[in-house]
Amino acid sequence: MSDTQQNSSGWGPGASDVEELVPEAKSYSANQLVVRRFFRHRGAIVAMITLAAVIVVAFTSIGVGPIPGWWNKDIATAYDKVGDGSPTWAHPFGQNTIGKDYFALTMRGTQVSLYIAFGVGLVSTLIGTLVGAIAGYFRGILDSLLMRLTDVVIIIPLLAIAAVLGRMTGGDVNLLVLALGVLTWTSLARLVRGEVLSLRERDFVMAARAVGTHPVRIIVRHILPNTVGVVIVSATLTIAAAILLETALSFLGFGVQTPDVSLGSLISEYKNAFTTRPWLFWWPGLMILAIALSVNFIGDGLRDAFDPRQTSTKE
Amino acid sequence: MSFHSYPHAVPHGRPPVKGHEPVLIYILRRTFASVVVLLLSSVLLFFLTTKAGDPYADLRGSNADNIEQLKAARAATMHLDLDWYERYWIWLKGVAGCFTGSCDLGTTRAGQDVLFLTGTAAGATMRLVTAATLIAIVIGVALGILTAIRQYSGFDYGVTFAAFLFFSLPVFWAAVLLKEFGAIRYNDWIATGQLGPVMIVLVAAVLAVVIPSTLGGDRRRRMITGGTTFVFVVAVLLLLNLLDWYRHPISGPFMVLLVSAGAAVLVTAIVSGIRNRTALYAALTTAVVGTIAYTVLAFTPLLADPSWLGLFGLFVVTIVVSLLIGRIWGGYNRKQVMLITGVTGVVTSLVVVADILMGYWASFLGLKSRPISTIGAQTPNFTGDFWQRLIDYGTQLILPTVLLALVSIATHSRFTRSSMLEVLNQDYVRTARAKGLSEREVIVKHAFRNSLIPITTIVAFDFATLIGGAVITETVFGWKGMGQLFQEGLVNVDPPPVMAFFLVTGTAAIVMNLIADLAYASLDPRIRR
Amino acid sequence: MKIRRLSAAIAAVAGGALLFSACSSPLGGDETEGGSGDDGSVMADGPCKADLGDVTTADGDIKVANEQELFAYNGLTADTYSTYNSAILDRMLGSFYYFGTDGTVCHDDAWGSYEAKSPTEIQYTISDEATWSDGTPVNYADYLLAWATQAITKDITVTDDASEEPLFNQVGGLTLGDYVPAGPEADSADAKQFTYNYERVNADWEILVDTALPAHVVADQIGVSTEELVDAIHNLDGDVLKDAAKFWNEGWLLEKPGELPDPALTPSSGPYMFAEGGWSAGQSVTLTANPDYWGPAPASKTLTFRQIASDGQIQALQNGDLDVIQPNGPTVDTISKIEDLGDSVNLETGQTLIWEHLDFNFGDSSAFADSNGGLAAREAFALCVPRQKIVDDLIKPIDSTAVVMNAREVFPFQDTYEEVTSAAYDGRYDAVDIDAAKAKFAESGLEEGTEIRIGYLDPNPRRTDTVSAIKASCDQAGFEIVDAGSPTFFDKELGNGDYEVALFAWAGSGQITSGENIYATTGGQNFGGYSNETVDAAWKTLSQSTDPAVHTEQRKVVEKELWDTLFGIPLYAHPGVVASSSSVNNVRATATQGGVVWNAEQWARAE
Repeated sequence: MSDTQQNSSGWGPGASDVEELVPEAKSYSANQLVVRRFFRHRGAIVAMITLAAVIVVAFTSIGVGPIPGWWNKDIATAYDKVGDGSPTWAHPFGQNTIGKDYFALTMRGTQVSLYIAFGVGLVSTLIGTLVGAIAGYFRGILDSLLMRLTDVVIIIPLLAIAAVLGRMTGGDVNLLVLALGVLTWTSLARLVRGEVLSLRERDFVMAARAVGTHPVRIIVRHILPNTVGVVIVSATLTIAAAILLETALSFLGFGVQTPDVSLGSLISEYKNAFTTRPWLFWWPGLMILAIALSVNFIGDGLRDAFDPRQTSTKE
Repeated sequence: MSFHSYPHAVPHGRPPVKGHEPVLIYILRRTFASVVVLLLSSVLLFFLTTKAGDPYADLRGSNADNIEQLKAARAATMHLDLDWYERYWIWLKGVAGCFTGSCDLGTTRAGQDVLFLTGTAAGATMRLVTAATLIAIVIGVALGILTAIRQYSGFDYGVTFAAFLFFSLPVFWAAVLLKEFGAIRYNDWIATGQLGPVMIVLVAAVLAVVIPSTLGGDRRRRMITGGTTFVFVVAVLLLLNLLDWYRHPISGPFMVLLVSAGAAVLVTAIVSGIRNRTALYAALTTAVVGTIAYTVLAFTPLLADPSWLGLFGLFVVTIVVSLLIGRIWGGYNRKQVMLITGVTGVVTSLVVVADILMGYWASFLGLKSRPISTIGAQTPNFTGDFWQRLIDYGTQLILPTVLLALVSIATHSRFTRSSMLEVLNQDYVRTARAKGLSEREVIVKHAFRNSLIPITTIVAFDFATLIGGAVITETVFGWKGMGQLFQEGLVNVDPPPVMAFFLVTGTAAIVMNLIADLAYASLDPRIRR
Repeated sequence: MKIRRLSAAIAAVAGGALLFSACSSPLGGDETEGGSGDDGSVMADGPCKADLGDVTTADGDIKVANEQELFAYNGLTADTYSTYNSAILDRMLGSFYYFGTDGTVCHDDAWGSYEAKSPTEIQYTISDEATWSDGTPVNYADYLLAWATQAITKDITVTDDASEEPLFNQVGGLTLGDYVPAGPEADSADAKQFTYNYERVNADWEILVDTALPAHVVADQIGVSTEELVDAIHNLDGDVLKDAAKFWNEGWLLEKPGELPDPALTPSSGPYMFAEGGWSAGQSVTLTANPDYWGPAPASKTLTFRQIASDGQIQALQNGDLDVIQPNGPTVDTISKIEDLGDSVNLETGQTLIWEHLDFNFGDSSAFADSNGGLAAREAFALCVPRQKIVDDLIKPIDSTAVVMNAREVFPFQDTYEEVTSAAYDGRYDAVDIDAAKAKFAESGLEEGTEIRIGYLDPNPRRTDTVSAIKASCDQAGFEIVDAGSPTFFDKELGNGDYEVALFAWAGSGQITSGENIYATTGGQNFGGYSNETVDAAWKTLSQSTDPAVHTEQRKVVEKELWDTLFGIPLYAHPGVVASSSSVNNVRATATQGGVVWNAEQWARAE
């Protein structure tokens, strides 16, 4: 996949860890190097483990669809309420107002939010990168058109579109993901375009063009790998933002429809509870935080792995 | 459209600028394209708004006998009997009137003039968003740079964690905390205005950890810095307690002189380097003249009981005098010196205003014993003189501004960090290091400026998004701003306020994008002509 | 923490009916504690305002939360009518009556008096002292104009059946003109006494004669004298009336928030008036004591309405930015947070005149239609709905006085509730009986697992929880409950009949006769298509009488029939909460939509 070897060779000796890698470089392919660099990033490893744990627990505990999980309570049943619903052994995350098991609800919310977050992240990153790369590489009229399209999407308030879509889709999560993805790619497109504008003038791209490489190949093989830094930061922020966007929409009734839940809808439903029944706010809050942070650190690790020039050379 | 660029100052290679289009033509061309974009988007948004809900929603559940008449009345007010494009045409004609001096943005469902509403709402929102954007840029960029320089340090992880905490937890959560600590507890505390020993130790300890970790150095050096910081902070806080400083802050002309002279040195250092003695003396002269003028004017109504017009006049005079000082000191680089004295003059006036406000703080506390309210843009029926009212506005601005800035700081710091890391590994930075420049010089002279380029994009975006995103902040703090206007319009399926919001944010977005593109050009050496 | 729990307290503000009135006989109210409370507040005797004796207006400001902006001095048009606008305007516009805490019609003796000479002849007398703050006396002209706004059609005729297009954009429509085509009659334009002659009996006669706006201001603005305006109304002079209507509809709009109009345009006839420069757009509206008010003086010099959404109110109260709050849609967390504030705050919780219910769909596509499962299916459903659990889990934590509601036309805190329910309902659905529900289900012939869609307006967490509780119980009886909450419930699903059970609330239930719209065969709000001859006949009898005893008797008939044939299932009256700084006395919650400000002129800062 990556083209970093070629680039860094074009750039002479790179960052310190690349230099360390030079003697070994002969025995590893570019992909192996990426993997090795990634696994040297301690934060990224911890994040990987955390995210994996979150995913595994969320999906195995209450199961998915008809497949049952190991947790013995479900999200639909209102159980007898123990005290004020604060966490007990039977209900480790506590219970909500009518006695539903909050662990089950949080896990279901995590499933839905993971789906939304990654779905939106994927759709938005794909569109943004594609639009940005095409606009920046081909320039001219195509660039103008794509950038004006970007402007149109930027200036139409999300809530207006969401309200209309929400009424039409009736809370279908797939459509929600698509809608949010289609609305959040603009800043990435502009950033990628800027990068590409600069990259296309570089020697290695010019060389590729000179020998008649197909533009698609140039973009995919030579240009995109070099935009990985900005793409990854943007994607990690989008993933965190998608969870929140869905919260805002749920709040207005256009997000995930009851009785299904997402982390965002749980948090907004119990926003007034966070001083009085803190467990109702903090469990979904912690899950959002865990997902957002892990995604960010994984992103950090990926960026360092793909593009070793970005690691600080000091110390 | 080849003006954009996002370069890493590659010293070789062809600049991505096709031809040399005059800036004015470029701006005109872009403006025209933007107007087309606005027009198309407005059609789309109008259509979306009319389909966003049920304009009779509140009447559906009504049990009144004359429900059909009520619906007819509403249809007449809102033109609901017309097709959406006919309604759009009515709206567009009203907007077109703005160019001939008879602006008509329509009325809300209840009959209020939207143009007027937009005026007041935009005023409130701009106050919030401008302040928040400035704070976010300064702090966000600073944090981004520091975390990039200290990549993978405890400081880096800490900032990353905080950034994502504020980014991923909802605004209302932060709002409640802010009100609890920033308003309620602060107000309780200011009643006595004495920091307790635990608090003093805590503040000093936090600073003693944070400051060394940003300054860097080996373990021993960090221990020393930390220890010194701790002792110094404890001493200062104890002194402030003794002086009852939090209730009766005093500074006076001496402090004004000290601070503005410091600013003069700083401005000189950044713009021309401290070794340029002419510039330094010019800047210091400005600070001294400013302080003297303040000391004299403080006894005249011009400052004691001012008006906005008077203050503005003084501000203009300050700038003129500052520029004059620069011109007189002049030297071989007169323009640069004038820039330095001008900026110093502006900073000095701000310091003077801050000093006056501090002087009025005690009397303000007398008028309003709980200075920071949790709601409202000002205290209703507040009776005070000019400066006391200004303090009232200021204190009411703090909490919502901080809240708005938090999310932006998080975003800015992440992007700056990434951009800075990238720049720090560019050839020219390595070359600079190889030349034997100190790390500080490398960062300030080479890396910093280039890392700003992508940030301009984000800031431009952010400003427009903030205007719309301020809606929750406006709601929880009881400000009537653009976000509220938009949301109420959308909920009532009432297009005029939604479209008014769009006109403001859309124009802001387009203007900011234009500025961002121009900023690219001025920051990127290759685009300079 | 001083908690006063009243059985009849509070208002919550939600969408709903436009007119709110008593459902029970006048007089009454549950707490009869008289005298002075230990916290300095004067306790009232009954649901009407307490008698504070001689009050001197004390300097100082009391700040109360209001959620929306002021729109108009004339809050009676279809465009401007809003609870939040009225909250402010009602403090500066007097009236013959006001609603007491349980919805009782109370008389304002300072304003004047009225007397029913017969069921169709009512004589009103305005106090001689009653004047507008510009010095003009309040008189017949004002009430004639008020009548005209509710009687004259676009074609400049007096309405025939209230269905024509009205000339004035009055929110109440043409009902008054329909019943009193002759209008109020008096000797002269400036008379203080006038008579309404009803063409036929109207059970709601007491509340039909409502707020009157200053006729002399209208006359002045359209360039005629008050006498000429009066003549124009009597003679149906189209030119003058059209001008008057134009001004009445639009001239009092406060188009530019923050800018109060010329005080001559907005005189006050109540205890408060606009304070000069007291409106800060989107922020606050300040009223100041009306120096010319002849009735009991307001206790506090100024009253400030600060605009803030419910979410921020509790902290604002804690910080002293507000003195009185009434958070919308309170939850158990609202209560805990206020209780956490301790002694510095008084908390009052109670029931409101908004009530939650489940209504069946009688349309052919519905499992509950008589052509499908019929009465047996409805009974099976009623037997499995856990009403007590819903109230215990969702409502009691907010308001400990909450009870399961067993009637539709009277509220548990009203006097006739016991009488009506004991006659109409035998308690058969008090407890969940799954076995009986199963038996009824089998009898209905419905297929096991028949889908029952419970529709409601989403998002609404409390209703989501309610449906969960019903599902947990009713799925055992053979139903398959489906949560069909939707943001478009009222404009789409309800109208299309895409539901089996609708879950929503009626507010205030309107006038005495308002239920007719809901339960009568031809009723405009009979969404489910219910039809029952006994009920129709009872409504007819009820609406043609002014006798409270007849009202109660006919209510019993209606309620019994609605229970026996199961129109729907009432659940509970919505809980409400009022909190106020303990430094403010005489704050008193009310069940009506007038809100806590209903007695704002009595609020006094403790010494």
